[in-house]
Amino acid sequence: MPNLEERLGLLEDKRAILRTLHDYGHCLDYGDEAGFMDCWTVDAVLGWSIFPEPLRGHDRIRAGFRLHTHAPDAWHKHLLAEPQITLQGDLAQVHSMFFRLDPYPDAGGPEIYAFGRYIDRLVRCGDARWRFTERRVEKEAFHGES
Amino acid sequence: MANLEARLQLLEDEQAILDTLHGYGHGLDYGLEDAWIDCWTPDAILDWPGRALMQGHAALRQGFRKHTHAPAVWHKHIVIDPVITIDGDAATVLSMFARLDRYPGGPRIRAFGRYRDTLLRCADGRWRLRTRYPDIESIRTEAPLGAEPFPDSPQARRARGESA
Repeated sequence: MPNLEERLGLLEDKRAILRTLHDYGHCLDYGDEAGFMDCWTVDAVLGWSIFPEPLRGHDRIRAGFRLHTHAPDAWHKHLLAEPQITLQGDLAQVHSMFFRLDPYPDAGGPEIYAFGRYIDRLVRCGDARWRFTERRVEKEAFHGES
Repeated sequence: MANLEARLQLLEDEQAILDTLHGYGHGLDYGLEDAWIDCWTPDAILDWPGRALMQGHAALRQGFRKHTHAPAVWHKHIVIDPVITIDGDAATVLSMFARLDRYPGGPRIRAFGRYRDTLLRCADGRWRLRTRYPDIESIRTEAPLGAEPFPDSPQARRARGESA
């Protein structure tokens, strides 16, 4: 059995990883570019389905962020559920569900725009913050698909 | 690095704050008036959009009694992905929310938005809401089954005899 220090460290790591996962959605929805960029290592890879190739490194990820919509121009919610976190020292792998809500005022009110799964890898950085080295977004269903 | 006691305290504080955030939704949805009131400091502020600002337990209790609850009306106030920042005995929390309601044909999302909260650690050790500002970012125009339309909606304005 791990000692008390190790058991507490495991809980703290999971909490810090969750914070990064939550920051991703908050920063993307509300246009916090600096906060969003702080979620990524400098050589991280982000696979968004709207781009044919993954975004590699801070410059490309920042460009992707700027192409995305944010409040108050567009209101949406990137919501994360049921993260499964596997820790191995300073590395972590996370599988989690996501769904995105959008307003659809012409259709009478908010609807689920999409749902799917995030496949993530994170690393504990020198400042102790956990950052994504990779996020792959698997969109499994989306509004209006035929 | 902080000592073991301080590190454990931080985790316990975050869990206690989450318990209060969850107590808000459970209390409101299931009519648990005393449990819901216990989520608030005595001078707390709740600013529900479209309604008069509430301050203090008496005003909060009045607002609670005007709200719908199960089993008369079934709905869910769901808080998601909270970002908690603790500074001693005070905390700020940003969290997403969605409200689910019954509509003809089945359940729908009635609204979504963000809660902007501040909480305080009280003398009995419980964290309570000091302020809650719910920002509604999207709302369905149609009223759910058994519930009134949202106060600022065209339906509600028509019902009050005002221009929609």
